[in-house]
Amino acid sequence: MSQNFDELVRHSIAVTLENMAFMEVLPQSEETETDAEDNMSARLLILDPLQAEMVLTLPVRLLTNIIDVVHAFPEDDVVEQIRSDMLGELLNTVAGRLLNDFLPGNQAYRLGLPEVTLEQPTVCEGPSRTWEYDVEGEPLALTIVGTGFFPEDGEPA
Amino acid sequence: MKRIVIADDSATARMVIRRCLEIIGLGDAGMVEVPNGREALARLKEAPTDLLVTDLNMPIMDGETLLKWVKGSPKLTDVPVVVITSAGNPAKEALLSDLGAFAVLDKPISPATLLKKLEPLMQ
Repeated sequence: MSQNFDELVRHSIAVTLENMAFMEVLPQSEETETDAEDNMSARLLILDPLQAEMVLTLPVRLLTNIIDVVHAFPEDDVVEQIRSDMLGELLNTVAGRLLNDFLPGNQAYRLGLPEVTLEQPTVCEGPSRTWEYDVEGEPLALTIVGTGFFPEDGEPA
Repeated sequence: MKRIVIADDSATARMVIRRCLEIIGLGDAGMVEVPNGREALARLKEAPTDLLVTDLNMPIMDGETLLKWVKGSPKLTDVPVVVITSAGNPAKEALLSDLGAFAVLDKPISPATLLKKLEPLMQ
């Protein structure tokens, strides 16, 4: 696996969380394990110029912390309303950042709309990889699926 | 600046933009938030506006169409338009600049990048 692509993925997540929520993204440690039932996920199709799907998964607790920072501690009912919006915007921003860094300079791209779920979403079939990080003691995972990024041998294009 | 219109279909993105504007010293401006380009146009026509900050990908009317409407309107053409997008690239940025965008910024924005672009307008 290309270390450069690993770094692009890490950088896209780090820049997004640092700029939006002033949170540091660290390598995952054993202490950051959590129950899958506490998680929320968002998935996003990359439509052009390559075809792939990205899934961002994180605990509701971490999502709530991010919302508290961005929206300055809103009321609990507001937090529930904006969880999906926040998670979708996070994934949308990570995807844009990654594609900006991954694609040649002038290449345009097109993204689908993020879909948010409380369960682990069903994603497209194909080669995939998952990157896991620690954000404020909570786990955050990004999975990329599809031959657009991993054409034949599982290595990034 | 007295009035700023922020157009983005994501409430989170609008809040991030608002907070960045506040951090760079524009917190006293009246900020109007709308979820699409069509509502942005309506609010721009209501009162003189000093700045329009818009996302590119929005339902109903996207940011590029909004930019064309603003720059094509004699009453609105002088409003500086900052486009903030997660789907930007140099070719798109050049196109938006040709259409009259004052600046194009990639998401995620930061107060520093926003300040750098808006400084000429704030003097």
